[in-house]
Amino acid sequence: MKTCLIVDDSKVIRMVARKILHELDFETDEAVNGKDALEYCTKSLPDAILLDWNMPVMDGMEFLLALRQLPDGEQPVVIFCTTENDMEHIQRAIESGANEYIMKPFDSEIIQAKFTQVGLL
Amino acid sequence: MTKTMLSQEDVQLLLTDPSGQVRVETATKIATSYGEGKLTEAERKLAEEIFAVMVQDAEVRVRETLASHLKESLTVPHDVALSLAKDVESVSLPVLRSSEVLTDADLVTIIGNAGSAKQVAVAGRSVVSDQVSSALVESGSEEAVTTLVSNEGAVLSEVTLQKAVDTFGDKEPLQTAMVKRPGLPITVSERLVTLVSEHLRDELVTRQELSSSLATDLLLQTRERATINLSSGSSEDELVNLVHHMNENDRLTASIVLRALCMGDLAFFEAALAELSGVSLKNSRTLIHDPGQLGLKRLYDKAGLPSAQFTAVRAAIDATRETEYDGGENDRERYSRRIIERILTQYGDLGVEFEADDLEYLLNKMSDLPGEYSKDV
Repeated sequence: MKTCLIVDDSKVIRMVARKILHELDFETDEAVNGKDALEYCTKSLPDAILLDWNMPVMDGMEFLLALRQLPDGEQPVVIFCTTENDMEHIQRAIESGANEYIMKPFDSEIIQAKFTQVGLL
Repeated sequence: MTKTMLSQEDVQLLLTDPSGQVRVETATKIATSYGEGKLTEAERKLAEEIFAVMVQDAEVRVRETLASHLKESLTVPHDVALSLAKDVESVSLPVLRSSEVLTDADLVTIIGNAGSAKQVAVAGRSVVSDQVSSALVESGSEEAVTTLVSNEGAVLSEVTLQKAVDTFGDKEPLQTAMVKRPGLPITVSERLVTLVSEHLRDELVTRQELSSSLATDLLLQTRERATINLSSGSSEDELVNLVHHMNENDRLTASIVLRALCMGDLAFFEAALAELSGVSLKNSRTLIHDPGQLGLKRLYDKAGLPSAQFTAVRAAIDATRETEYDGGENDRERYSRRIIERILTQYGDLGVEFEADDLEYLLNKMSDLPGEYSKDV
């Protein structure tokens, strides 16, 4: 079973993402900000990370840059979630090491399509 | 005279032995011949004259015999049928159940003066007019009204059904009969959902170790869930009727309006806002779907709904626009599930907020509804 770390400061969004990912046969873990997520990844790297962009303590961008510096840190497929829809913002995330992005609001169809696109399904 | 009608010997026997048993045998013979329709016109008139005397017979068995043989006759004189119908129960019940000679006016009069058994007999007739149904519901016993509601041959208007719910809605046999009755008006269904819930709550508190407040919370959720499900698939008139009825009974709450919308029931939301704001449904729809977005805000405020949840409402309307049915089996459920997902993934960041119980409702609903993966299964 593949693993996915859900990183989002919203408990509600984590619950929705968890439900969707479980139905797609992923094992999930959760982190409430980039700092917690980085601590998690130093111990164990998941197959995928669903990453919120705007978070307190450490945001998605900072986490992503730090993740890719870890040993084998390039392995997890990172899909970042954003509410911003300008191309410059998305381009910056991709350049920082994100594999794909999804816009909020999302639903199970969008998650399934994106995870399929990056070879996770 | 025909073979089965009275013979000379019969008359002789009746004169020499006018006992109850002989009178019963005589009644059987005449009523059987009459019922078979084989009498000449003169014999028929004579038989009817005999019936008019026999309905006064002191021997109840004689009258029972007449009732039993004449209950389905379409030609028996009205006064004979009416006399039998007003008799003691052992005589009257077969006639009240079956005689088509009795008029609605007869039945209404009898219902008003009779005990439960006669009312039940009328309620179980193969056809019961709305006038008779209304009289039964007005003055009938619980058993009679339950029998009536269970009778698919009974015509029951919405008003009559509502009256039945008013009077006996808390009784389980009536609730069961109502639930099983085909074509129940949506307003009656909605009230029934409430009453069934209240009854279940009492049961929960009485029989289970649940506090009253916890049981009420559980049941309110169940009731609103059921009411929301009622509205899907209703015609526009039924929906307008439903929300009006709910509003009159203080049950068109902000919570139920929001939950229905978040389940993707846009039609219910439109009708509810029209009802609560006093704006026509047509104009409400125009305002709700006004691209400028000011129309919705004005209508929402006029409806008196909580401003803290406006962003959630806005998000939910957008979600219904962005989401389509996939055309597969259970696509209604998957549609609702995706709408909820799209609303909840705007929680926090995009300003969407809910009351705690509404959030719990939506999260539970999301768990219950089939997900995207299920359409391929």
